[in-house]
Amino acid sequence: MRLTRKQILTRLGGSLLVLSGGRLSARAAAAPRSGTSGRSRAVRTQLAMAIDTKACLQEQGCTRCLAACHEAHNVPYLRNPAHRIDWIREVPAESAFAAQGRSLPAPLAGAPVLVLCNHCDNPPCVPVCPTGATWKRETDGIVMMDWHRCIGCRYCMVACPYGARSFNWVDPRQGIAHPNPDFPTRTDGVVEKCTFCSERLAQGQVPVCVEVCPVKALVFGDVNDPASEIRKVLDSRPAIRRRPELGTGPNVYYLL
Amino acid sequence: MRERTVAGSGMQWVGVGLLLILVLLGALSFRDQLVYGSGLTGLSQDMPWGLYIGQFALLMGVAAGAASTGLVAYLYDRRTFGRVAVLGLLLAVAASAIGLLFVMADMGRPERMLNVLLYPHPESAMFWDMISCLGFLVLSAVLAAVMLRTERYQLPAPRWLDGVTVVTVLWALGMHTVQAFLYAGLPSLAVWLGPTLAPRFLATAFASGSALLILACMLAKALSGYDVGRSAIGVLTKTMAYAMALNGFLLVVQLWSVSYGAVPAGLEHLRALYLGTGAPSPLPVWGRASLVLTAASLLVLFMPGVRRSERVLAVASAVTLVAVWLDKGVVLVAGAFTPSPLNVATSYVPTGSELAVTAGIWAAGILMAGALYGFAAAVDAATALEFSGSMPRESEMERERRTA
Amino acid sequence: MSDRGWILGGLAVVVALVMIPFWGNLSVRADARGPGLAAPAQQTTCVLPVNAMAASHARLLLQWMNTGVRENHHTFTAFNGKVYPVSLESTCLSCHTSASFCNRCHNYVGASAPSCWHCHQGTAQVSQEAP
Repeated sequence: MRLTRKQILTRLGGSLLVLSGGRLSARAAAAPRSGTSGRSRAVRTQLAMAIDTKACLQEQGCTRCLAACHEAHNVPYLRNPAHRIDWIREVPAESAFAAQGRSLPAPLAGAPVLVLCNHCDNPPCVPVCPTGATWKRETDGIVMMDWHRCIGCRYCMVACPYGARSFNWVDPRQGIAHPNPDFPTRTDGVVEKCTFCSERLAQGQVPVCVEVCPVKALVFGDVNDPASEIRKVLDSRPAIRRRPELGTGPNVYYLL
Repeated sequence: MRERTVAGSGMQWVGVGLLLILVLLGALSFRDQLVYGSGLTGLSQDMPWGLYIGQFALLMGVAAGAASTGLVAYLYDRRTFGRVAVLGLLLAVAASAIGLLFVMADMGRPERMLNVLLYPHPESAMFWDMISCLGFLVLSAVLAAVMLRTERYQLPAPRWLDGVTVVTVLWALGMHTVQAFLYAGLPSLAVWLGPTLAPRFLATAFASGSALLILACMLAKALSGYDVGRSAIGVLTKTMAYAMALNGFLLVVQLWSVSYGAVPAGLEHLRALYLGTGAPSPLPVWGRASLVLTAASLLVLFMPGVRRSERVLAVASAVTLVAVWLDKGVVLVAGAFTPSPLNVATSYVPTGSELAVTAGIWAAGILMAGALYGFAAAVDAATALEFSGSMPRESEMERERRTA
Repeated sequence: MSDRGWILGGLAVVVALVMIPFWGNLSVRADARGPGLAAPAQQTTCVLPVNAMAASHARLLLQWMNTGVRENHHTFTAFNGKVYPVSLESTCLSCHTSASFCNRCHNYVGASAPSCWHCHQGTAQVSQEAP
């Protein structure tokens, strides 16, 4: 069946019309809507943590936040270092702030610092998840985990530039000496990380690491709220973040 | 028209038996992995992906390259390249099937695999990865089936065949680009972040796909007399050579652009891959072997002997295949995670269980390809038997024998 | 008719294989009446009416799974207006006490429980006040 010139021109014109109409309506649909909360859409709650490295280093050998977090959330202690799981851990400052090199302040050089999930503004782990098992919560900005959905592909672990995520290589229950009955364990084959104690946030409480710190070195709150303690402390003291040049917008600040 | 066949010879069944044993051992190790967890592998928090994902990257490249080369040649000259197109497609079916098996072996919760389709997330490259791999498998299988059927009953090719062939080639290229995008878009993998990874993936895909297809065609001819013809081998050889040359150039570009600026984020990975970090690790051996074999394959591929001698061609294909295997299977994945984001340089050594699963899946792929190729040869023989009287069809071998 | 022996013998083997589930039940002397489920002592009503619970408890649990984790909504208003925390351990197990309540029926009908107990510990939690 050969098309006549007239038919070709008509069909081309028709499809152009349809395509342009489609694109215009899509642009209209994508127009920004006003926010539903009192605040404008640009400034929403973003929960963040500030770690006072000076105060933390005063307590030599203290691991209360690590123990509290891992006990509260049934994070296993596994003897094989390849399989260890940490929601919050201590690493040498040079590992956490590799790019700083010599500009690390002297007290921090060679010292351990706490690292955990940064609950980034633009978390690279979120768009890579093929099932939506991890997402950034609209209401408070934490990066959440759904362990029912996770298929264990570990793409989020690959994407995280901070090494904040751990995978359950074996059944974690073999490494939990005293399970906390108020929180589930996880099963082997899923990725886990700090969730800023989402179960405690739901009760209006702060994360357990913040609560148990003996020197109150961990400050927690809404970094976008001018009245919050964390906003005030960040406005009054210099702080650094891990790998800020990547554009992830980490929300864990290290007060120097 | 029946060429000699080796069907049913003792050696062939010994080979099949050995492969079945490997499959069984692999299945047992995979069962262990399901019961005890992925901790049975040598992976760790600082090395989340390893041998399985490396094999997946390599196999999808082989599938895309083998199918595309055969199909593009087929679009130009159906008569001469029909057989190599079929063998390329069947190789693609087997390779992509076991590629997906490797993904399944790597997943922590494989029973939740369908979540990717039930809760689609188009912003994830892995979502498109799954869609494109499954689609490619289906397209290749359908095309191969249609081509075999039209051949068997001497039917005219359906009108949609050319269109679907073009779609399959584009799909193959797109699929493998998506696989490169799994790595090439992540700021955490500084060494692979950038525009050179996707073109390198495609170049090595064509190189390794052609290489494996050449070896497979040689094997098909030796075992069942199914001859794709000298022109087809010639096209595959040229593709392999030029694709590997492009890969070599892009490799130089990649190495230069990461190392000249000496930005530590990327440079540390290259140092771990090729120079060693001071801590004892087998990685630099593999990294250097990959570079050496890439250079060696380029040398052999551009020697004149490749065009004259089948033996040299077989060696060249094997060297190319191993070079790409080292590159995509080892360097790509181990290099991405050494050092880890927390500056830990893990020494990753696959465990016995991991190797058993890998060998088992490869054995399953070889068995699958063998069965598919045997089927194609049988179809060809039956066609020849049925139509030798009414429609003279000569293979290249016959013509050579006749005119020699 | 020399094949009669093979045919009858083969049929007998197939019938025996097909009846494997029945042999299995006979061997454990399975009770056709099923496991009796005792009603919990403390409460007289559940979050749904009993018939609705029997029919759609799986759907309810899946809904709670998404409500609690993904929507961050932690309360459920039952059909009688009572408000419960959205929690397998705090709400369901506070009355039904342990995983064996679920497993008895699931094992009996061969519908394996969808791996809840891999993570959830199957014992009642300290009940939390809903916010």
